[in-house]
Amino acid sequence: MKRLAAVLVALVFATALAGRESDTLNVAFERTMLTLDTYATSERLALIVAHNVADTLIHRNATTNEFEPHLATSWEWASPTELVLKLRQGVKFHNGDDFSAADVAATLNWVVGEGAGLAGTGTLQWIDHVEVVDPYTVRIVSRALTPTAIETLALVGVIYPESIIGREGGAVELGQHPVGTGPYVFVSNDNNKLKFERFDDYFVGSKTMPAIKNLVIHTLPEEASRIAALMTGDIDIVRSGGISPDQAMALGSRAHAEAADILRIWFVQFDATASSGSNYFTDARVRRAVAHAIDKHEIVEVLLSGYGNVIDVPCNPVQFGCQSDAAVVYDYDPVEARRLLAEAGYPDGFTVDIFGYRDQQVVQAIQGYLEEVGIRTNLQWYGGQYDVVAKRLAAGELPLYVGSWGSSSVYDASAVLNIHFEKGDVGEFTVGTDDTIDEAVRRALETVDLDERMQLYATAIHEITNEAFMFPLYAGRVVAGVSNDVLWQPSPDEIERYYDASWR
Amino acid sequence: MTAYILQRLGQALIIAVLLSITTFLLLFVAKDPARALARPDATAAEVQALRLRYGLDRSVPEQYWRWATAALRGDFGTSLYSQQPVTSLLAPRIGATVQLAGVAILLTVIMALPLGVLAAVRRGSLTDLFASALAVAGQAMPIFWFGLMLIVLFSVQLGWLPVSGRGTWRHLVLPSFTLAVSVLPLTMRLTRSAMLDVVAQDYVRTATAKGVGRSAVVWKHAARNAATPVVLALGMQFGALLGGTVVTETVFAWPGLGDLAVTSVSTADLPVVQAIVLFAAAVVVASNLMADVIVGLIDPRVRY
Repeated sequence: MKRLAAVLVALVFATALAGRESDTLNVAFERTMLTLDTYATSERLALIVAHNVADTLIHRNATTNEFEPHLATSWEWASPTELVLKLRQGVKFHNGDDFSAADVAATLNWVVGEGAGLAGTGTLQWIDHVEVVDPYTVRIVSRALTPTAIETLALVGVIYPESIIGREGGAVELGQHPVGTGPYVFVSNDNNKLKFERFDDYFVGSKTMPAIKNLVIHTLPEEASRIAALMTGDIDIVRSGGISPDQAMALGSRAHAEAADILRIWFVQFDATASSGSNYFTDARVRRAVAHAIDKHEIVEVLLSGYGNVIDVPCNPVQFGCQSDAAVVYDYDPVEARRLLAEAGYPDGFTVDIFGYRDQQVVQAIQGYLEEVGIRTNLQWYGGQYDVVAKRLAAGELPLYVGSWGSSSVYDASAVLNIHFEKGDVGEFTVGTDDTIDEAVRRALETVDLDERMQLYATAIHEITNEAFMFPLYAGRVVAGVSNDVLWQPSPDEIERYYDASWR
Repeated sequence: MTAYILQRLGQALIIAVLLSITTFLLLFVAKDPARALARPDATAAEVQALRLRYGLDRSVPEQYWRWATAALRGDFGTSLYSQQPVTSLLAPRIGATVQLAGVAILLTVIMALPLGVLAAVRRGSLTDLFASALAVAGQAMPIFWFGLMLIVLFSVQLGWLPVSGRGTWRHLVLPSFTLAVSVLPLTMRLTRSAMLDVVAQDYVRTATAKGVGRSAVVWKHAARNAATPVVLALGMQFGALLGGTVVTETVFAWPGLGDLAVTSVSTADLPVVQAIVLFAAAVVVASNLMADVIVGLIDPRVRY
């Protein structure tokens, strides 16, 4: 009996091999992934897996934001719609295939062909088709002049082997068992645990050879469980966004928080066309009153514990063309807000619906600020239902919207401004704009002259903020949890590079 | 008995059909599956192409008929989202959930029955008080909170058990105990009140008067007669647990049916949701039926 008890106690105390001893990096994601093919889903987690398992032609350096040669060694525009890329030789896929132009053509032609409707292929739909020039040269022909071509290729354009993507059902197979040229080889998906192993024949290019041999991605849907697992050492990294800012201080002695500035911006958007049936915000004075009523510095300091950067521009200042000095700034001034409301004919304020879908405490704080100046709001909450609220925004049904936009990780002002202020099809979320803005943002996408683009976006930003079609709040900072044993930082583009991690 | 089982199976079939029709309709009302599959800015033509590819352009009754006839042949279709056969998606999840629910029910039986019997036999004693306090506490406690407290104590503070995931028996301890504590109060209170009814009966007094030992009176004469409502309640609870235990699975990252159900509903993955609902309905019916059969075996008075 005593021996049995001793065995039981020993069993209980024998914790599984800690990550370091087994050279395994344990990462926690917050959702189950039903497909690992990033082209099949708009799920960020699949894109992260893709960048660790596969490679893009061009790589964006997370620190310098520079584009670096990767699967492609060089590229040039042969004409405004023809991008010619020279490819690296001697690169191998995990299945043993040699990488060549045929793989690039097969993958990208599938993306704009058979796969075109799928959720993760949107950013590459500027491609018309891809031609093989010789085994190590491809020509990408675009539908129109595309200033963000390089950007999107670096962001989502992972290359699969032709032998798989080219055959019937190949894409589905890749969703369950991804094969690429990347730093980690996919091994198995066992009970919500994705296992990967270092690819010893990796060509490296602009990435790094993984210092840690094994990578395991676990699904832990509950934040408190993720934090507990980090504290016990079961998990080495909780991916950025998996820990809310107010928990950053509560990680105990075995782990710490790492923050990254991300592209996502938060803002208030007005229905300036009365298409929602509410006409208060057709008057610029009312929109400016809202801008003066909200203290965004207080929101960031108090509600977000400093995890945010206040912005005055309707885009992220790190994006190309997003110039802070072009913006008209509205200081927190409730007295001025009341004066503007009275001038617009609402001395007693009014009541209106306000829409939101994430960061409820921020939306509620805004409701409080507006109440102070006499604007009473009814919260229409779409928590976690971005697709629903986005459709209603696109249909012009929201009089007042507190939203966020991640720019699909594209470091160019067009990724925000054209979608929110251009008229016509491109301006999916345009609910208030004018001809000056429309012309400026439209022309900025019709030229590759950098100075001209800067000038055009400055014009647009000035006009948007002067008319207060959108009131920018802050740019996001996300928090990742990292074990004190591990040297690693989350990336601003929210594409986590686990191959960069090493033991301290 | 056979006639009774057949009758119950017939009822189960009707319930399953009604349930599957309801889920089918609800999902179509809530979301357009083709839209959910397409990228947000997909053109109408691209969405239409997806709709055609997956047969989502047909009328809802026709789609239902196609699904139902295939399901009868054991073919539950392919997941719209991951393109995997639904059966191969479900199988490992069912295994995980059955394991968790099975151990939880076993723990419940081990804890609730003796405690309930003792509380009844020693009515008004400290044991009874303790049992009642436990029942109230167990029922009042939110299950996710209890699970997290267990994690804080046994994983973070003591370092004895893993926080989450599935693998060894050590992974099973905390989630199954959490689940057991959530179903324990009802089972224990039922055991106690059934026993109280029985120990007041004449035949128990007669047995005691004859000089039968106390434990034989309690366990042979009383407990067996008190078992009927308890077995029925356990059957119902087991069925409910097998249908997926979303909260516990979420807290402990247990890769079971509940987790798959949440993911599939949010992506409007029709075939997967349908199969899960059908499975849940089937196990509820089956476990209730099983409870009825067990009651028939232990209680000779019960004739169907």
